Amino acid sequence: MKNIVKAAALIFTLLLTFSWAGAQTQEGKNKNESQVLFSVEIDCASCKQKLEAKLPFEKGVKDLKIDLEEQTVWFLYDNRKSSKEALVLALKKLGYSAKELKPKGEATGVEKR
Amino acid sequence: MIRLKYLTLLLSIFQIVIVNTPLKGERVTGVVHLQNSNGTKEPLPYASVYWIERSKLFTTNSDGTFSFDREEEERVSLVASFIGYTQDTVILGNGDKEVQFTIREGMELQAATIVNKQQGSYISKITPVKTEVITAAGLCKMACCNLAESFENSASVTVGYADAITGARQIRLLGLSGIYTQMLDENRPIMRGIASPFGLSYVPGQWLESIQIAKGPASVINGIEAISGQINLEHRKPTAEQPLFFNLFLSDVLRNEANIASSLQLNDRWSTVTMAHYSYDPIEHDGNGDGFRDEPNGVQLNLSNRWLYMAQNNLQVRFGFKAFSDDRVAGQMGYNKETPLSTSIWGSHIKNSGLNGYFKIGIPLNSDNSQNIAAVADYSYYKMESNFGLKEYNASQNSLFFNLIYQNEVNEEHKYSLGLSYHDDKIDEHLKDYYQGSYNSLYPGRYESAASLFGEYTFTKDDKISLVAGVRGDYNNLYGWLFTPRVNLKYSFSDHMVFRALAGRGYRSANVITDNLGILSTARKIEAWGALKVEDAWTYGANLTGYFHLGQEEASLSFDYFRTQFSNQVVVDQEFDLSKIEIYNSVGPSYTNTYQVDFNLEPIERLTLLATFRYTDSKVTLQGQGLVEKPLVSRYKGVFNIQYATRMNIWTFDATAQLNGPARLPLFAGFGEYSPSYPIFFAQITKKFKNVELYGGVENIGNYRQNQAIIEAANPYDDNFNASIIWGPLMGRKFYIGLRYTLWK
Repeated sequence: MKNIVKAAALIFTLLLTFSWAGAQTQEGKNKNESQVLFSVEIDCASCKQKLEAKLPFEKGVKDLKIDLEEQTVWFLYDNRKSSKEALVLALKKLGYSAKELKPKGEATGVEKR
Repeated sequence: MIRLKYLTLLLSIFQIVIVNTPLKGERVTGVVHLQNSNGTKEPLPYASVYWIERSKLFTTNSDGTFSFDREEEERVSLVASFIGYTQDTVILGNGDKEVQFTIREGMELQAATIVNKQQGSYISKITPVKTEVITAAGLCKMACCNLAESFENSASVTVGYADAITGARQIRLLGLSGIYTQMLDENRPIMRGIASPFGLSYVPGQWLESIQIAKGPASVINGIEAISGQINLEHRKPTAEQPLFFNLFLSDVLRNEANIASSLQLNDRWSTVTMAHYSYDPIEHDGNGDGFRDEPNGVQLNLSNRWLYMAQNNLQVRFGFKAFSDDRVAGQMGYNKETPLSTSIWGSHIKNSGLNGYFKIGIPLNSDNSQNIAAVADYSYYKMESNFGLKEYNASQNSLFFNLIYQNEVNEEHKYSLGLSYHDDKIDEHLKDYYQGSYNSLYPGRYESAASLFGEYTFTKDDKISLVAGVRGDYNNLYGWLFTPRVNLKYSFSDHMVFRALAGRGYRSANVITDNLGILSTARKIEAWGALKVEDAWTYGANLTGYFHLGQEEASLSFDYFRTQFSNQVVVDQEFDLSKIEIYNSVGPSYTNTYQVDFNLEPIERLTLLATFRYTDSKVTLQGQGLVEKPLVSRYKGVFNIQYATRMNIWTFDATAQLNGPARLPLFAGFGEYSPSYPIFFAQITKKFKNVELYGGVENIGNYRQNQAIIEAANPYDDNFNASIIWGPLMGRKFYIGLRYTLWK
């Protein structure tokens, strides 16, 4: 019984440490990290699975969220190693065309570049 | 496949040649369209098109077109925009000379159209029946060699061994044996009759895409057998873009396993998936030193091939087959297949094999598919040859199943289905029962057929109310008319509070030997009292689920109450006469009440917590004892699961703690009256690489075992020998590693 309690305590401590460490890095967003939200016509769970298997290994991709309901793909990426265009290309390679969605309130159009 | 490689090689050579030729200019033309809110498109004049690499800006002409020149190999990323409208980005490939953009009016409109496309895949909030879904990700949390091991994170389903010999796993749903749960394979009934005791072992976990658990009797469309619930299995799909998947698994007792699957889309209409499984348990292992193997040794092979045809008018055809063979040896150490049957050693050799073929067709009757006809035909063959010590049991089953369903979605509120159904089971069984030096033959098999009519009506109102009411009449050759009414109701007080209630009746024919396989691993004589009636029960239940904002995602808290009450149950009683197993129609009330609480939370990103607790109060009337607690049904189970994943699930850490409550022991089983409550811990780590996942873990970390699981293990031919009184794990701590490889199309 003692061993059991020890084992349980160890596992939970480890998990909490990992998650705390994870939370720290999450907050540590730096200037080399950019994010972008794309509208992608993705509507099946297995398509999502495919993107989740492939996209993490694209150069510079740091984090990824795919929302099937909203049909969006969000990236956090290292802007020294990747760019919005490279990400669009990565999606295109997997058979999906992507359109950037600008957060509301921000001017659309390319003049701002 | 090889051809494809050559083609790729050829193309690369071609590319190299092209790249080395001098660059030439080419003209690119394009058009920008505006998509109106009603879906129509029109050319958009004066829109901006920006070439990112060259920082050049073009403006479309009055007909929405534009053009420019580029070098042949030059990278061209274009963004089309117009003030107040969405943007569209296109990257040109080599040789692309034409480009089309579509932009829409404002963001909000776009969001609205997207929501309409939403898939019904997140069932739990939508379906009238409360459905617990174990997804592919959930299935990967555990090593899950087979279906039985896929429920470890669920308090709704409890999994235990049927006995200490055969390795057959039994599930319990709502405190009732798994035989009262209807198992479905993509909505075709499976694991029926004599196929039920080992059925779970013959569904490799890696073949599954998801499992849906619905408590209580759900739809009448698939038959009358769901009493405590339905578990539906979704296999890997022909349409999955995974031409190759394989999985390898190895445990510390050298169980090794391989799974391979391939989904191929031959063209727009035809697709197929092929799945194969192999597993081998080579080592005789006796961790508790009672002279008996803790788990059987043997080899299992499974193969399945499924096809899907989709026509342009929504007509769908699905067909496929599944075949398996399993050869296992259990019992005392040293016993093998060649050992002659005698009282000098107690062994068990079990050979199971089976075949299933099915054909499904869905025909739309109008263009929007609101009216359609679906037909299902299914045939199964199952054969079991076995001995348990000197008892010999041989059986075979041929089953046919037809279903014809007409569905009409009158409008968004009203929908109904009408159907005809037929099933036919021919079960041949011979038990050569050995008891105190003499043999006695039993032939409990039967021929059963039933023709049925059913109807189901669904009412839906604004996602707020939905009601499914169904009735079914079966004319059965053994029991006459069986009438099955069922109703499910869902009411949403708000987006955050959903109430569900259900009531329904279910029936089932008992298979006395295979439903209670453990009785063959006793020294007792098996005796049935007269003709057995059909098992008949009503189940009622209610659920309240609340969703609220706490932590990162929506947290949920849910309460369940279910009651199953038998009008007739076939009771298997080991306590009436200690030299016999008595089987009889229930002589008084038999019921089960189940209460459950589930709590899900994601306190910080990618950390999920799941806590669930079930309490069961299960009573049965036994001859001579009156109403008593059902033996070997644990009073409660608690599950606590914690999972943390790093970004993009590159690493996943998973730990589960289970607390299993006490169960009443039969009077003769010693140990006092109740089994002890005990915890079990599991942990697993998964690392994701490109195309490959590696995982390793430990089951039963605390190494908890039911000691002396077999009564009189030292003298298996003694009158008291009994290997069926199982309430805890038989295997101690188990380490395992595995890998999954997926090739995506």
